[in-house]
Amino acid sequence: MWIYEKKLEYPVRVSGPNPRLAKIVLEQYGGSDGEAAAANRYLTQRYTMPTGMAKGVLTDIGTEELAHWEIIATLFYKLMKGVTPAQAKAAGLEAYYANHGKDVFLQNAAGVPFTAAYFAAKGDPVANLVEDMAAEEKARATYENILNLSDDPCVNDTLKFLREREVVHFQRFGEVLDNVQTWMNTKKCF
Amino acid sequence: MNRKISHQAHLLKEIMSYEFTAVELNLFLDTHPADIKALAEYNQVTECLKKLKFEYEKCYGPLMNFGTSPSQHPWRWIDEPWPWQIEY
Amino acid sequence: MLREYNNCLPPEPIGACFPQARLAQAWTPYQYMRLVFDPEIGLYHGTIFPELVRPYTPHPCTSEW
Repeated sequence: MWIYEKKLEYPVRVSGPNPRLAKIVLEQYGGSDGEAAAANRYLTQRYTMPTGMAKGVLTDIGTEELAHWEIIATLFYKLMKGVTPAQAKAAGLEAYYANHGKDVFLQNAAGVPFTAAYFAAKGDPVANLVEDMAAEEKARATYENILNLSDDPCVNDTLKFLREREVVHFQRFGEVLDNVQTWMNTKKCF
Repeated sequence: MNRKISHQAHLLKEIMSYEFTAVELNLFLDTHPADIKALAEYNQVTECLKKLKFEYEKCYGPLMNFGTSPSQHPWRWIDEPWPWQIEY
Repeated sequence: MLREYNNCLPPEPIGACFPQARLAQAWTPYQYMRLVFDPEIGLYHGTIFPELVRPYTPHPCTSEW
């Protein structure tokens, strides 16, 4: 089971209302390489991993991704605080506002709703782990694209933290891949 | 701009830094289970974290529910602010 | 036709520098823990491990892509 902890993993600050940036950060909320896709990818793949290490790392990183998902939601919530309907409209959030108001909806920056098709579960631990490593790199690249588009240094501080986590997770998945490949090369089934 | 953050936010930031260290050591130990130095650090950070959370919960109610932390009367789990409402 | 070895590559077997690495599979070297940051500094960097700190600096060629 999971137990909620009533705190964020990292502080979230914004300089002020910014509907344009709020729309952009949704990419990491419900986008193909966002935090919801990451959490569901790892927490789905963990069941059939061959070693305790692989099951553990997928469980723990999957859980940390849920905390990152909450951080992105908090960014959106704070960036939309005080935004008027007219400002939402001017920032291109008219259609979003019509459907969701200021709720945080699972979609990407372009408005495409979240789908499980964003991640794989191939029934093969090596294929799954290599996908996970690629996912970390794609998420890192997405954070860099968003940093290039952002005009709020407070938001950048949080985005840089999340980006660095992708680097660390890549290292851990690399170590797990080695563990699983060694297991597959030595394990004999009779 | 120099902003003054609340006592609650200050305590939370301290908890965040220790819990983050625990997350990092946890992930490291997952792939290095025999690293005795990392394990000692993890256990030490866990102790510090327990004390910090105890102090925080005395002032602001439970950080975790479902039987992990006790609550004062009345039930304080539902007290605001929730994490996304806090100004840091 | 197979050549004995490519002139551009050293004649040692591939993977000599990284004995654990095999052809046609991904391999990441294991991390060894040395010093770690204090909690506050670690949170700031997004990792407690100095060897994993990789801050974002846009590549100078990115603007041309």
